[in-house]
This record gives sequence, C-alpha cells and structure tokens, in this order.
Amino acid sequence: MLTYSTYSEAGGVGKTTTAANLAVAHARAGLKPLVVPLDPQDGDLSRLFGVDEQRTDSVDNLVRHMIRRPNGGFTDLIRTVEGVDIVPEHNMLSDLAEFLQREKDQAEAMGEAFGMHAQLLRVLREAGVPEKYDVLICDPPATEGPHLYNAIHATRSLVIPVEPSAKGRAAVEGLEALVAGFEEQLNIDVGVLAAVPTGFKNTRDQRTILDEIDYPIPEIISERASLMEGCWMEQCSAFEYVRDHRSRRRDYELETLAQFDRLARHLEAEVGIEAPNPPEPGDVDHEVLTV
Amino acid sequence: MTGMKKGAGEDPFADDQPVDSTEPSTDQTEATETPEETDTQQEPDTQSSRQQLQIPYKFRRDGVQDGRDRVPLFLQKETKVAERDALREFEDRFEENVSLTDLREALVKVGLQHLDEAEDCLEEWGYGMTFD
Repeated sequence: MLTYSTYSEAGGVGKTTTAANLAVAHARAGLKPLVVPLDPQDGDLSRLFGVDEQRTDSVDNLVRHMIRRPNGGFTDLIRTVEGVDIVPEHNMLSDLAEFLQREKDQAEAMGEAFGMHAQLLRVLREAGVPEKYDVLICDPPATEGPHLYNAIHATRSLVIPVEPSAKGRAAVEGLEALVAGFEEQLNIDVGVLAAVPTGFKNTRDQRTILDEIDYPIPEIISERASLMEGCWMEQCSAFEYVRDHRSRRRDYELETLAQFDRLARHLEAEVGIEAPNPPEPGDVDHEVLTV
Repeated sequence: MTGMKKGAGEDPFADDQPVDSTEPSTDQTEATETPEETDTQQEPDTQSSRQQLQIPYKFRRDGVQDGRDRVPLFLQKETKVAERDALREFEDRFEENVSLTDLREALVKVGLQHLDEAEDCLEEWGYGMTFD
C-alpha cells in the first residue's frame, strides 16, 4: 500500500490541490485511493471536492472514531468523488486536541494506555483500510499539532509541495526539524517520497533554491493560478476542470495534468505498486472501467 | 538539507507494530521511586497528584516533545559532530538509548550555569570586537 501525507509548513503552496489531484491521478490509473483530510478550517480538501456540506452538522465523523465514540461504521463516513474515496472534514476537528486529551485522561484513569497520535492509524487499521485500498493520502493542516501528528503516524511517508522562494526554503528547513523531532518522539521512521515545487516561474533565484533541495523532484509544477482557482470554483480536480469546464484545451494545462499523472506513477513505483490501467499522461478523456 | 531519508518511510500498517506501543504507558514509572514518595504514601487521596510530580520527566511524558517548546537549532558542523559523540558517550554510560532532544536541553541547561565559558565561545565568534 502506498501511504503519504502532503505536508509543508508554509501555507498556500498547493498542499491540498496536490493531494486532490494526485488522488484523482491514482484513481484514473485504476487504483483505489482513500483521502483523509484533517484541516480544522474551512477551505479544505472536502470543500474542493464539494463534500463539506455536513461539516457543521452533528453527524458521525472521523473525530468521533478517533476518540472511540463512533456513531456508525467507518465506511458510512466515506464519500466518493471522481473515483476517490474521501472522509470529509468536520468542525469537530477544531477541538481534536482537546477531545484526544480528555480521552487519554479517561483511559489513564482506567489504567489503559491511549496514544494520542496513533488514533488515526488505529481507526484506519480497524476499518481494514490496508486491505480495501491501494493508496492512502492524508492532508493535514500546516500547523503542528495532533492533526499533523496523526497524519504522519498513519502514513510515515511525505510528499512535500514547496514554493521555490526564500519562504518555501525556510519551510522545508522547519519541516526537517519538525519531522526529526517527531521521528524521535514516536519512534517511527519517516521518509520523503518527493518534493514537488509548485508555482514555478523559472527565475534564477527559484532555480538556485531547487538545486538546494536534497529530495527527489520528479516534477516541477509551473504557476497555474487560473487552473487551480478554477478547480476551487467548480469544486473538482484539475482533470475534471479541464475536461468539463474549459471551452478549449490549453497545451500548458494538459502538461500540468500529465505531470500529476507522472508524479502519481513515480510515487506508486517508489513502493512497488503498478497501476492496472495507467492513462497516457495528460489524457483527460481516459476512463477507468470499474466493476 | 539532511535528516529525513529519501524514499518511503516504514509501513504504518505492518503487523508487528501494535498501535499503542510507541507511547510509553504509565506503568513504566515503577522504576522511578524516589525517597519522598514513601513519606507521602499514607495520604491516599492526594497520592496520585503527588506521584505525578515525583515521576521523573523522562517517564512522565508521552514523547520527548511533551512539555517543551519547539526551538529551531542551527549548529556548525563541528558542533554537530561533537554533539553526536556526546550522545554516544552517554548511551555507553547509561547503557540505553539517549534522546537527542534530552541531550540538547541538558547541554543548554548546563551551559546556562557556565556563562563565563559561553562568553569565551561568543568572543571567539567575534562578539565584543570593535572596529574603531
């Protein structure tokens, strides 16, 4: 199983759109991806895919499962969009730290252990996620906390969108310190599958910064503000946006789609997964036959 | 940039990893009795809160970052090497793993008690120099 979190300390570098488009790219190739976004704020991955309408309702949600108080089965949480299974975000995520702490105190009063950072992993394992899915993608928020810790604990591998700027560089350095501390704290081994520069305008400064990145950079995504804004507007992936909402196809946008396809193949290959029906990279009309 | 390895991390769903094993449970505290603890054991209703205070930090926390603020640390190469050597040295002395985070804070704490030596170090780096 391929598992990763898209993570960067800097906001606005395309973490969520990278996670969303990679998930669709995996699905296009015939793999079954599960996406677990964990952003406590609005404007998140559930919003991008238009499955966030219940986030303020008192419905069963991931947080309830993480504190061992589910109101239903895990599979009932899941919504499917563009071939991607998603566990929608819910406003209870804002108080995740508090909920986990309370449950931990309670457990310890009863003489049990409760790992605050291992609960997402427990929920996914108990739900049989490794048997049912080929890919697990977590999209945690940029801030340090139980959302991020649970995501990293459940995936152990990272895909790091990087803005090639001084700010982006500082964010990657900060991430180093953070993950090193996290590895030590929870005694797990975290790897970086890829750094994904986004918003690349090919300036000399940007090229210098990319040269300093010591992780594999399979693709460099150029500035595609209009495409990405369009995705948010129409609440869909870049693939669907170009296919259904662009009156004419632009070569440079098709190339960006091809990059997401190739990036997905790269990540799959890193853990030895071969997609059953990979598209020609960037072929928006490619369809996956599902049984 | 170094530190995290390239490629995939470990398999989070590998069978040999029980979910809770990564965080020490409270029963590890038995090795940490302190002399005061026996004095106060007669008061059962306050015992749990007192005990909490007496358990050494290493055993009380869920992970090394607990109760600590994150401070980024930038080290010159030779300092990093010396730190690594010190870590190995302490691991030999204690015959157990020593957390780098713990070592670093210990070094800072001890350093804070030796400001004169720290001053020498800063002077070597150019503090106190004037160019009139």
